[in-house]
Amino acid sequence: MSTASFSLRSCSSRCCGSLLVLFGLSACGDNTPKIPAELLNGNGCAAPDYPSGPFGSEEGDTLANACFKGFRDPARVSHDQASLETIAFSDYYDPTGSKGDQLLLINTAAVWCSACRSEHEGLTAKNDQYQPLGVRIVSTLFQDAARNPATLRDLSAWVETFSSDYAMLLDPDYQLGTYASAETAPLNLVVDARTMKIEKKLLGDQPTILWPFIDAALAKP
Amino acid sequence: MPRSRSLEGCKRAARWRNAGVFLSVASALGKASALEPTRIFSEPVAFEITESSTVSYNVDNRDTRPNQVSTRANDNWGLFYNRANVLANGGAWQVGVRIDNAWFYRYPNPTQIGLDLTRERPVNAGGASPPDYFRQKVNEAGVELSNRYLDWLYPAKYYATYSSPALELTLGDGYVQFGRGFVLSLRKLDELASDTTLRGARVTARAKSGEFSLRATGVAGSLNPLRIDPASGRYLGVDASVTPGFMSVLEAGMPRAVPSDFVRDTGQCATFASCSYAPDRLFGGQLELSRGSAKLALQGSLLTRSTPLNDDIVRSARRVATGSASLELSDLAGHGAAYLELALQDLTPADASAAKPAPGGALYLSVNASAGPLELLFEGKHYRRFFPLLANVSPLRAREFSTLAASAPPTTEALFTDTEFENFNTCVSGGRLRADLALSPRATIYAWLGYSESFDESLSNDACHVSRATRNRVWDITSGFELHSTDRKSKANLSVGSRADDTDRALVTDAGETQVFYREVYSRHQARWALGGPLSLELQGWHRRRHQTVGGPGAPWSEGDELFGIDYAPHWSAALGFSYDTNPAVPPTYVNGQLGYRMSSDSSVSLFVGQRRGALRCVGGVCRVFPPFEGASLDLTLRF
Repeated sequence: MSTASFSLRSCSSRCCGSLLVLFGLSACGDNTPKIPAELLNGNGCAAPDYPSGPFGSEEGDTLANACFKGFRDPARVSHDQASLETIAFSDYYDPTGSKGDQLLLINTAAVWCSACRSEHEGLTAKNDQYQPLGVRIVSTLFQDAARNPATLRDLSAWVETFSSDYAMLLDPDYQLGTYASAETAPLNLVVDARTMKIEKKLLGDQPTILWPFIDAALAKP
Repeated sequence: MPRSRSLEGCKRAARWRNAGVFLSVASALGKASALEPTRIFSEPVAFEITESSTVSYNVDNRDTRPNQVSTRANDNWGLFYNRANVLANGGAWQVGVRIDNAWFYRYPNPTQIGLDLTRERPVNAGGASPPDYFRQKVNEAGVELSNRYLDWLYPAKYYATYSSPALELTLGDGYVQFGRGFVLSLRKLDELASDTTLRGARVTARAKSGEFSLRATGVAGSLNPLRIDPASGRYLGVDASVTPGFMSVLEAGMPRAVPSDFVRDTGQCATFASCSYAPDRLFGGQLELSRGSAKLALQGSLLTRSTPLNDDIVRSARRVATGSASLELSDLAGHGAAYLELALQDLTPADASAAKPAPGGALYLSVNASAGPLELLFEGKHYRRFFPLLANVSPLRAREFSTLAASAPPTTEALFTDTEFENFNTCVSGGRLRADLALSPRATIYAWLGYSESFDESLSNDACHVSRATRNRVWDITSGFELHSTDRKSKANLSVGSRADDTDRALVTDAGETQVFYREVYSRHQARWALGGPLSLELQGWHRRRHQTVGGPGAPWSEGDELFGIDYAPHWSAALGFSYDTNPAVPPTYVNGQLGYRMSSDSSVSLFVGQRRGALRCVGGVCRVFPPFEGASLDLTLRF
């Protein structure tokens, strides 16, 4: 995914016909805004050993690393500020299999999203079943009931409501918006932990598709 | 031809844009010659031209949420949309073509969206640094805009039809409705701005022998929805990987997926992030045998897909075969009518290693009976794993088209019902009884009672496991009255109703457990008063008190719309609209005004200025999400 060029939709005024005058509106002309210097240099979520790009958002693409605050194991910690830790996708990168991670299931959730809630009703049981097989579930809560950025309070209520025992992260920035628009939540990304390539990208709560796919992926040599 | 992001592309786009506007202006100004009947091969041919144009501008529609690109990407854009229809009638032939032209004269910029979101980023920021946040939001906006606000000029519909008493042949676009919509339902729904056809061939042959009539219909082609959604600026784009062979002929001139700085052309629609549509191949047939008021019919369809663009159970199917048998008795001894349809469905997954779903089935019954002033209507249904034929649209890339389907199994609900959540109608049993009692020639009272048990509403249940754990029990009750003046120029209709939707299992919420899934009480009214002479007043509204436990705002909320209009026949009309919504996720009030002028019964101009609430609108179970609108829209329709 290109990040260098922001010169979308710019075109010369020479191409504008008389219709523009007729409508008195600005279809053409350079509408590319200036980017402040302080926004030009980001380091991303640094992880030296993480696979290099190019990164993408489609199946077969390499997942870009991202950092979040959250509970790595909410069943074992208190659900307050003190227990929040920084968690990155790179934490689950396991090229040699030394961590025992085979697949990473990245899930998005929002408080307003009925399908997300329905999905999380059964996710703890799934984690208990698949965690020993090398599947790591990482779910990100991004919005509250009024579709505003999720807060620690929302995250705490969520893990207590669903008794989550898998990593539950806060994503108030909605960093996973690169992969799917918020309106289409939940999103499920099945990622190969050995390569961090996206194996499957699923919209909605689709257990009859998701878990058989994970079973098949685990069965591969 | 899309607007490109380069100078050359801009020139090219401008030429197409000019061509589109020229077409519309030419069709408007060229009426003198166009309307004169002419003779072709000694056959008189009459032409009819309909020209519909819309110029709209969308300001900030107040749905903006922090960090959410899509709520920024729908502000401050303008559209000129033109539909030019030309129809020629000559003898047994009819030829028609509709050319659609969209020109977005203003559109959002991804860099500006990134800057705006960065500037307004809440203090409780997440883990990303400002440059990383900015870069991520610009990328997200770039992908979001990769199939929105692009200019297109394309042949939306075209057809040639030959009609004779015994044979009707259509090449090109045509509507298809078999039975009550289980097998195929491709039609135009003006209320939803939907117009989906089958592009290909349709043959209908008729024969009569004594008291028996036989009609046989065969169709083959591909699904052809309107490719541009004027409400969102999104379009459906195909690429070469999903239009092989003859499909490339059917898709010639249609909008294509285009690469951008943010989306690369991978050569495969499945991974090309602006490729949002892969046309399905459809084959169907119907055999109807009639005798008197009885009609027996067999109908079937086969839908085949190239590349599934989503993994839900229907879109991931390589092949969907649906068949049904129906019996219609249109006259029950002068006291009613009855209709029965039994349908079966078989899905074959695209992934050969995936488990094949068990076949689905549907049974639908409709009976209406009348006795004196009383009319009764009963509709019943029993569906198990019976899915609508969802079009091969990527909901990820074109969510506005996600409900597009080639079939529409009936719901048995009131036409306006929009509270069948998730996959309510795919695994359901239930029915509705409606009674209308005419108290006098001018007054009727009515009521209905509906009850359904759905097993695919409150949790995902594609396999349609029927159990208490999956069951929602839904009661729907409504009563109302309708009054007419003697000359029927004035009328009033008022109804009040409620809906109670409970699960058998306990739903887990932040506030504890409950079995209440959804509750609603509502009133609907529509009235028209003829004030004498050309003047009349109209009032219509729908007011609702709603509570949605899962997915709602937490507490009950109210919402409603009220429209007050004045009509000065035959030319002028004006209306004021007001809407409110106490759901904290959306703005609380909406105000708008409308002014219309009808030049004739077919030609009119209207102006809308103001705000319109975003909503899910449904007509007979076919639903579409309309985003909130704020701005102005000028519509012109001319017919020659």
